[in-house]
Parts: sequence; structure tokens; C-alpha cells
Amino acid sequence: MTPFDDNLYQPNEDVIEQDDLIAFHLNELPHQQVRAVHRALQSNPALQAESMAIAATLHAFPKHEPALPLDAAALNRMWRTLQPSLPIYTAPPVVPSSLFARMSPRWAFPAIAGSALVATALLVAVHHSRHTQPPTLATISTPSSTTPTPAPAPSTASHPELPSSVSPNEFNLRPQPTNHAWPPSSAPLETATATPPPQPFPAQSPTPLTPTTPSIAPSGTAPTKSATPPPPSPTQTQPTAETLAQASTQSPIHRGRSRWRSPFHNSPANELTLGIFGDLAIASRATLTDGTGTSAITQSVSQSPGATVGALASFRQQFSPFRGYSLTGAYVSLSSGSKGLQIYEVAGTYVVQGPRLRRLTTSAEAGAALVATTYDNSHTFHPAAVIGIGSELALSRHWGLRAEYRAQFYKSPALFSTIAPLGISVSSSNNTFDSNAIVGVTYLFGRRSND
Amino acid sequence: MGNVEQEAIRRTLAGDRDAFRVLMDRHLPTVLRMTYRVTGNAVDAEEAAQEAFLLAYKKLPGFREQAAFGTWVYRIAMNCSLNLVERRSRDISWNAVPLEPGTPTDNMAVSPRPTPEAELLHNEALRRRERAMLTLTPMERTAFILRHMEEQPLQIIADALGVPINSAKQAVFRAVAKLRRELAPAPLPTTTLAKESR
Repeated sequence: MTPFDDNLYQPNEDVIEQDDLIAFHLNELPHQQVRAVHRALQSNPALQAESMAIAATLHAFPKHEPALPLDAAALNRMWRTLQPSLPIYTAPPVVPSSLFARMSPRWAFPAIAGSALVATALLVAVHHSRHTQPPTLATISTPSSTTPTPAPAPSTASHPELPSSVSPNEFNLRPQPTNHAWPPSSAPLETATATPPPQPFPAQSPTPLTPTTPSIAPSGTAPTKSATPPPPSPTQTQPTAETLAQASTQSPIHRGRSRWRSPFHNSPANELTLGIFGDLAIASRATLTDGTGTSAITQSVSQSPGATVGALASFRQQFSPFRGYSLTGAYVSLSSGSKGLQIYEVAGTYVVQGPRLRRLTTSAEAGAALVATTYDNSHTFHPAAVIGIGSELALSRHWGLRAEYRAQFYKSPALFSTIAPLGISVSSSNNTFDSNAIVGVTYLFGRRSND
Repeated sequence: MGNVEQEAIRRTLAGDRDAFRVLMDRHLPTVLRMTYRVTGNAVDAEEAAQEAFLLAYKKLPGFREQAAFGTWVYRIAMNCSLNLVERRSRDISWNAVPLEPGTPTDNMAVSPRPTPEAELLHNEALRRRERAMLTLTPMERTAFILRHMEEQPLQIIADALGVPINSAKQAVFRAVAKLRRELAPAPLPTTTLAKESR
């Protein structure tokens, strides 16, 4: 008779070692091996004796002993021994319950990434829409079946009913150089009626576009009404300044070309900007001092450039190119050792707008701000001077991208002092010049003035 | 973990150092029992226990409240006890016989003197047991006490000692084998028993 189950033990494991017995008594054996050991013990006296010896050894070291009773005097003595070695923790800093104060780095970065994705999507959408816009007049060619227009007279006379005080630019009626491609002809410009635009003007759909051609023809080459009188038509009406203006503003042809060319592109406007910025403090040394005379405690603190990302929201209202204001709130979180530093800024600045180049506008601002810093449960407030210069790229009627440089100049907060944890009020004698490189998305309320 | 302990931890972290005493009063007896068993003397037991509570206090900001504070400080005390035993094993002077036995431990929270019942029943067995324990390495002694006397799982012992679980298991097995040889009236001829012939 064998005490072992051949199914449980391989040939090289057919020996129950002392460790197996120890594990058996310590309840460390798998259930199947326990049954095998039980069977072996029943049939092997030597194994049984060894097992009893191990059990006696373990029994000599009792377990299940209750916890040692300690009287109050012993506890007091141990506490008095331990207490001086225990440092006192400081309460966690109370974070203001504002929107930016609740912004934690844990979800700030996903928010930043989401904003970047939205900005990219807007950029792609605008780029795509530009390629799918209705054709402009510059792209319309004259069909070969139409009668050619006679050579235009080199007249620069304005339309007889067009007020001379009205500038073509004011209605975005810039001369179109592409009209040079039209073949010179003595016939009136009835070709336009043969190939009407895809979306004719609502009030002039049955009317030839001849009267309007001077407004889009290059100066000196466009046929004038006096030089090439159109054939009489019962539905033809003389264009007026109003109809010209209406045509220039309602026609998708003109709007497609004039959207980014208006000189009034950047005024007036109400804009809201949400952006992120990289914070860079110029390296310097600050001297923190407490007390006066011989009791003064002075500490020098080095400021070094930091690669920190912050968030910013700005509302800007522009009444005219040289008259506007901006309200800005910013938040940035830094880390100093194991403790965090939060900087909040509320700023009001005067804004002027600078030169414009197609869809790109520029602006500059200067004003004042209040900078609040929170570090290790201590708050400091400092007035600051703010300057900034930036540019905005219009993506659509409402959306744009803004890149801006802002700088704050304020008195250095006594945040990194080793004196401060002692509860001493520490003053700083140096200033901080903080630079921000901002990239943001701008939403313009209403419509741009040229739309 | 009860609300009392959670509140004590919160108050401690808020700056109330005395609130930590609530935690110490609750768990010091259990910790001290274990450290006394591992170190083998009252002086070291108190020192290990105090070191464990000091470490627990310093690590309290990182303590997850989902865990039990008692289990947490107990594991810290395991490691402190082992480190102390290892330090003592390297310190020859520590094992020297004191000139006035009993004096350093008169004021100890744990009395090294056996209870009257133990003195009556196990005086000789106690000496043999202590002699047997001296044959163990600090690792074996700690692993054996934690596994057999404190009934801690091998995984927790391995974590506390900073060794793989198999190393902790082998340390326990070696300790039992050594103790069995020391306590046996006559050593057995072999430690491996052949399987009965089939």
C-alpha cells in the first residue's frame, strides 16, 4: 500500500521532506498535498514521529496570545518620549473657490489638448470652406458664342449716378484685374446674361449686369455706359449707388473676395479669448528681509526660468482702432518642492489696434493688474503693471486665433523663503518680471463689420 | 478604519499633533507585543515600537484612508523590529551581560520577567526556547515569529521584510527546522524521509 497518490506526485517528488511537514503544520500546503500527507502519515511511523516533533516545536512557541496590557502610565511615558520627535503638520492651503482656482493640473492638460483640437478643427474647416466657395467674378470667362464687347474707351468717368464722394473701397468695389482677360468687344456686356451667375442677385436677376461692370472692371479698361450703350431692355434699370452697394454686399461673389479685405476689419468688436500661455520668469535674485537693524533676517532667493503652462480668459471691447479695453483673468500653477504655488491675475488694460494685413490684425495693450499668490497656505497680493502686444488671425466671421506676448512687472512675493514657515512676516525688496507667451482661440460676438 | 481614527488622522494632518496619541493608544499594545516577540527584550521592543509610530507619523500624509491604520503601522513595526534585531546582532556590546541586571528595564512598558504561571510551568522550557531562538538569524526569527506566533500571511511578511515570498517561506521553514533540532531531546538522523516503498 502506498500513501501517495501517483496522480499528485511526480517520480522526483515522491519524497515528503521536512519542509512539506512544516508547511503542513503551518497550513501552507495546497489542499491536494494536505490529503497526500495525511495518507502518508497514516502509513509511515517515521514520518509520523517527525510530524509530531515539528508540532511540539511549534507548540512550544505559543500563539493567540492577547495583546500586552499597557497601563495609562506606560502609555503616557511612551507618548512623552515620542511627542518631541513629531513635527507639527501645517493645514493644507485653502484654495479660493473661483473658476481658475478649481482648475487642477489633472484636467487642465486635457482641457488644453481639447482646445488645441478645436482650434485645429476650425483651421481645417475654414481652409476647406475657402476651397469650396462660389466662384468669383474673376473666374468667370466669356463663352465663345457671345458677341465680343467692343474695345473699351479709355474713360475713367464714374457712373453718372454714382456719387463722386463714394469711394469704391467703401463698398469693396476694388478694380478686378482679371477683367483684362475679357476679349475686347464693341458689343454690350450681354455675355453676363448668357451666363448668369449661379446665384443671381435677387433684385436684378433678369437684368443684365452691364451697369455693374464698371465697378468691377479695371480702371481705364472697363467699358463705360457712354462708350458702349447696352441695348434697350424693358426690364433694365439704371443702377444706383444703393443697388451697387447692395450688390457688392449681398453677392456671394463679392463677399467671397472681400471678407478679409475690409479696412474696418478690426473695429468695432467684442471678443472673448480663451488661451493658454507659457510662463517664463526672468532669472534674478530677490532679497527677502524681515525686521530691521541687527534683528533683520535676510535671505536671497534665486528666480530661474520656469516652463509652466497657465490658462487665461480675456474679454476685449474695441470701440475704434484707438479706443478699446480688455479685462483679463489668468491662472498659473507652479511647484516648489513638495508644495504648489498658484498665481492668479486680474488685469484691466487699454487696447489700441495696429496695422492690418489681410486676415491678420495686430494690437497692443497696457494697464494694471492685481497678482495674487497662494503658497503654503499663505496669500500675498501685489499690484502689477501689464503690457502686451499680439496679433489675431481671423478664421471666420466669429472665430480667430490669437498669439500674444504679455508681461507683468510686480514686487517679488516672499514665497520661497525658509523664514516664512516660522510664521514671520517677510518682505521682499526685489521685483519680478514675468513673461507670458499666449496662444488662444478668440470668439467675436456679432459679425465683423465687413460681413 | 473607524471614524475615530479617521478623525484623528485628519486632525493630525491639520496640525493637531496630540491627536496622533489616539492612534498610538489604540494600536501600541498589538505593535508592542509583536516587537517584543521579534526583538526578544523589552528595551528593543519599545524602541522598535516607537520608531514604527514615528515613521507612521511622518508618512501619514501619504497614508490612504481606505487601508486600516492598525495593519499599516503593524507592517511598519515588522520592518523596524527586523532592522533592530539585525543591528543588535552586529553590536557585540549589546549582548554583554549588564552589571546590574534588571535596572535598565525596570521602567519598561513590557516587563521582561515571566508571569508567575510561566515561571512555574515553563521556567526550564523558557530558557531552552530562548536558547533555540538565538540560533536563528534575524530574518529567520522575524519570519518565524510573524508567521507562526503573529499568524501573518507570507505575502505580508515578505512585503514587510522586503524579500520575495519564496524567500520568506524558506526563512520560516529553516527557522522551524532549527528550532526543532534545538528543542528535540535527541536529534533525528535525517531531515528527509523517504517515501515508503511502493
